[in-house]
Amino acid sequence: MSTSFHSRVVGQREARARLSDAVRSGRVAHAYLFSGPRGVGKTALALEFAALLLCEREGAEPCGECVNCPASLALRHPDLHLIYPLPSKKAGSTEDDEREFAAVIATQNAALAKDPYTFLRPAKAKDVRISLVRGLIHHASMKPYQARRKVLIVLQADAMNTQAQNALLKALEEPPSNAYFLLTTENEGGLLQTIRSRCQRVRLAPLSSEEVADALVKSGVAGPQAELAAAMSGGSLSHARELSRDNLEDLQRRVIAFLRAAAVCDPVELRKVTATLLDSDQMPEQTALEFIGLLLRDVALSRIARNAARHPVTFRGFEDRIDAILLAYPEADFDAAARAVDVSADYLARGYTRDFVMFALAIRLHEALGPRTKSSTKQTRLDHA
Amino acid sequence: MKFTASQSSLLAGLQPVAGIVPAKSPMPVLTHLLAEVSGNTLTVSATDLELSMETKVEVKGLKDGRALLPARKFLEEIREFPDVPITVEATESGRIKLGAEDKNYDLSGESVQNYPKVPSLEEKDMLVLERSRLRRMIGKVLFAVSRDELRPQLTGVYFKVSADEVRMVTTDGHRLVKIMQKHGGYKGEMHESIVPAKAMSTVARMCEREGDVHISFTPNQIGFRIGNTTLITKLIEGRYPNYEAVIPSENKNTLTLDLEQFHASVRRAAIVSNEISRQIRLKLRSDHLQVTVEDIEQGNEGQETVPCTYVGEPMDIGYNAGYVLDVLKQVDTPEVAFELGTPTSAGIVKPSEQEKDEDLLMLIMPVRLN
Repeated sequence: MSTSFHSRVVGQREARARLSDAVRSGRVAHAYLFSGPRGVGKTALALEFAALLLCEREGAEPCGECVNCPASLALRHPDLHLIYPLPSKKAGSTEDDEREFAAVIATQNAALAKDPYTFLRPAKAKDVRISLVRGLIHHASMKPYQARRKVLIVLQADAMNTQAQNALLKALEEPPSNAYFLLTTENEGGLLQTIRSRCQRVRLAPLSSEEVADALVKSGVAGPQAELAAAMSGGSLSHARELSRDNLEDLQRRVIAFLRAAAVCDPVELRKVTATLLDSDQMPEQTALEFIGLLLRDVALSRIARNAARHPVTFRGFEDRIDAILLAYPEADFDAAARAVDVSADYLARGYTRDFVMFALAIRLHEALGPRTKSSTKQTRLDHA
Repeated sequence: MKFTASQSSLLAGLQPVAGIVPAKSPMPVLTHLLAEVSGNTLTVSATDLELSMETKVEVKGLKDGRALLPARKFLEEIREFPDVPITVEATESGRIKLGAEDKNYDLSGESVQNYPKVPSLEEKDMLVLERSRLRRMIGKVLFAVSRDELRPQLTGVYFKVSADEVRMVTTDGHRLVKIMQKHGGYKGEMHESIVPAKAMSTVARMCEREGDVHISFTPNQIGFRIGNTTLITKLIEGRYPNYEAVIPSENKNTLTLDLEQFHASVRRAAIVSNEISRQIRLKLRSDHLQVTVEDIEQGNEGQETVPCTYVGEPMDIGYNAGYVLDVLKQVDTPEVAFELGTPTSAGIVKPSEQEKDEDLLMLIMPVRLN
């Protein structure tokens, strides 16, 4: 393989092999849908596949050296067109979207070219605008500028409204020659069935903890921190990166404090710990809920593995506290607790006030954990936690 | 890169190319002009990734090299200079210095490596046409270009060159224009392309002065060289629909009328026609034609009689007045000739006499009368 190309895709061997086989055998489909949870490499893989489709040499990976590769990898190839959600236009603006948001797009693309795992929606971006979809279709209907093909990418494709999806559907039904559409989504259900059925599905599974930890170490995160962040990431590299910037132990402590307050259902205490839990830029409500879920999972696993060698998956180093919870709440229903976390995540997604949601969660957790044992020693241990 | 040139020649050379540079772009590098000095020639080019333009300006070359000039600021600055020799220099650090006498400006540039490769003209097997002929052909066909992006092929001009003629066709499904022109000689292979309408109108604008146009063809591009300037455009993907199949060959009813008179009648009728359907009715009889119009919604109506020569079955046929006017505008003979079939089939419109070496045919679909 060439020396100047280093794949930035972490893991996903199977999907990568499948895509390069398609190119090698000349059986590239006209549309691909990359789906999977956040941070598993949908965008990274789509962008690398785009570079492969535009590469002159058509090897197993982009060669990195031909006239097309450097430009396509830097996202400034004339035959590579990329759209994603953008903020709403200012009222009364007559500029087309691409011009109005030229600066936003330029910044986003540069960040994306530098690191495909850090893609975030531009601030206040909601939809993939129909005008951008139309522009994309226009590019598809033109002959290529310099490569043999044109690659048209829609990131977060589920953010297209129905009208925009229908516009794209027309192009997918009768794809112009040499046009290849790549869509990414975390939510396949947000796409019309008719769009999904016209795409080759590339489903990306969460990465293994080893793959995530490895990638973190390569980007300069210290070994133990990387492992911890990887274990907590749920197989999402972008999530792991966010986590690896934090003092994870401190976050874990805050989550345990919340669970403890929830268990006793003390409103004053609860108010305090909720504020502490969410008092961090890196700790959005959804992440906090994920942590609570992970803690409950560790406790539940710990109960199943009773007396066997117990290793919390996520909350390593907190074994004694997990034990304390188990001993204090022998009748705890962890299924119900997990459901409570899911329900809360759903409420948050629907825009309920976060303090209210967290309080409601605490009450549900209190019920799920069941009565506390009377043993004073055990109680003391939990209180110390 | 360093050169000196007079303000006026620099401005005249740069302005047309700067015209295709987008003011803002998600690819900021595209808001620049690519300048290259080699000997005493300055080549300025730009692309918006669809349309590319290049022009050559005679300068006093001081140092060969390439640089990107920030198109808007550079041009605005040049425009405000008096007509004196201006020296332009790109420094190692990528800055653009321009100055004359005691005026010195220093603009920030962009790395020339990031600029996309501007396509160049394929020099072999070029078609040579007189500028006025090309301009005339483009002028005749552009009105019938479709704006429907769902059928991208129809948004362009079908452009075909073969051993003895060059042909352009446009259609939007309601009308069609086909114009053919004999040319002096073309040694290349037969070529078919679908050229975006925007590029065609730019070419027509560039053909204002006398001279020849050299046209070159590649599978993905078409290029026009007009004087010192070259324009290259990406083509539209796909095949042009089989337009010959819709041109009727057996329209037996022929109608000939005075262009001016008929044009005026249709203009008058169009004013009171229904704003949406724009329908007018032509009642064809052997020695006269009656133009009638009725707009029930607004309660307007009118009719007038136009003398004509009509050979065929008497019939009533309806048209969209706007379409008829568009077609009549393209006729420049004193009389216009229609060849009609039935009230529901396409009618052919031609000038009563063709220009030398030219063949113009227009097609117009009637509307169903209610």
